[in-house]
Amino acid sequence: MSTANASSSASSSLVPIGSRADRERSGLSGRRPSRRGASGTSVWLARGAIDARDGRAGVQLPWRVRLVDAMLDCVARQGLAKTTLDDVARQAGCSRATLYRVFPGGKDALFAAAVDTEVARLFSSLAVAMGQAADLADALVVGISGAAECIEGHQALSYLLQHEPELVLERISFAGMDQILDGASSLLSPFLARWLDPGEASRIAEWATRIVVSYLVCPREDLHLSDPRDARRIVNTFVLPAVAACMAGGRQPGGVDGLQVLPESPAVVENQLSRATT
Amino acid sequence: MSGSPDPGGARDAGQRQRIIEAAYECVRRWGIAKTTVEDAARQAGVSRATVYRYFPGGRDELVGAVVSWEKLRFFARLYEEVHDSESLEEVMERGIVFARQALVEHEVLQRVLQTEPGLLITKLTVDAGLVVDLVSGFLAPYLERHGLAEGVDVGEASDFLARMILSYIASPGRYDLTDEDQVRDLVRGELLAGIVAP
Repeated sequence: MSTANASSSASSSLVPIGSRADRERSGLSGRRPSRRGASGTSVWLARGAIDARDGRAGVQLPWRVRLVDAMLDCVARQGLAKTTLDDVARQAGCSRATLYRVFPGGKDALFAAAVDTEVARLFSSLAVAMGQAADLADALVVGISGAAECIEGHQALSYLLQHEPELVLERISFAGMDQILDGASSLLSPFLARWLDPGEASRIAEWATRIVVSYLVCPREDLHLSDPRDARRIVNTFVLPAVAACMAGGRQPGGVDGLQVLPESPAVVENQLSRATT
Repeated sequence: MSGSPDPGGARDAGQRQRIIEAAYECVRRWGIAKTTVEDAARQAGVSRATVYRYFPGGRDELVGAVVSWEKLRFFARLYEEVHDSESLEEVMERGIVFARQALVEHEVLQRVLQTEPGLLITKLTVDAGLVVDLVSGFLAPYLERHGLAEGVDVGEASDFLARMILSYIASPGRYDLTDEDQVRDLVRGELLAGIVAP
């Protein structure tokens, strides 16, 4: 093992930009032009985490990531129904046998892994952006506009929304949405808990998630959440006054807390996110 | 009437309506994917050709019309339930409680959500913008009558409230919407906090 590799595996999941791992993977991460800014960060962050593990665990993990990315490329081009395992293997530069070794469950397992990976990448990029926010308003604005930008610019997701919408809508409506709300609120509330008590942080994180999904499913021509100015107007007009009222009234945030686990510290969440991508 | 439809039959709203209701009955029994034009025609007592005259797009268009019709019925019931409310708070609280309960107790919706969620939700989402406009248009006069916080635009606020109400009705998240105290908290403490005059 080279020294570069050793230092990468010894570091935390946050591999610094410009590391050997990052340079090596620029060929992969450069192919989605939509992944800029915060979301671009998430790509190498997730890959960095995988790389760190790879140093210890052998050769299987990179294949997993390369296959997931190949799957995403195929879906962005031709959707899920038309994508065959041969397409994915060719795109990843491996054989079908390798694909089946990594994903014995075949196409379904590969697609499920791709969804999980992209969700984890989204949350890690949001975690980075929200972790750097100066105040609560900023954290909400970068969280909401960052999520909207990442989702709108996601080519595989855009293709599916347009041509195979049932695959997406099922996951973000009714009970599927309840799951997303639960997950998003427990993963992102730690970043709001710097300014809010845990119950309130979890309520506001859930609310922000609803806002993002609503404008994704049903866009409005004169309002683009990916534009931080629009996101700020929504946050300032509707969300922050509710936070202020809750604090001023000294009352408990609404809703049942039973659904929510207590927010973990940001470090624990980062750890969970990097595990979710491997 | 039940024999051969007149050539101007495309204008016969009653016939079209009967076909939609017949198709709804088929969806109730067999689900979306297994409902065919043939089934709907038999159930309505008309020929396949008649169904195609009203729904040239066939099964897909017919199922879309069924979902839209049942969705409008849902919102019509909701309107009946809440239109005599006197305040913005009251109309939202009564509306959320009623709509959530109606949705949970909607037998056909719940069954199809279990068996064919992707198909149903895609049809339900087709005119999501229309539903937001419907709810928002209904709320706007209540907002206008209520004193609003400085700088709040009625159009933007009613659009935002409509989106959030629809989101909570479909996916309550942390809230138990059968509990009136929680709904009150949601409406007054969360949704309206920035909108109404303090």
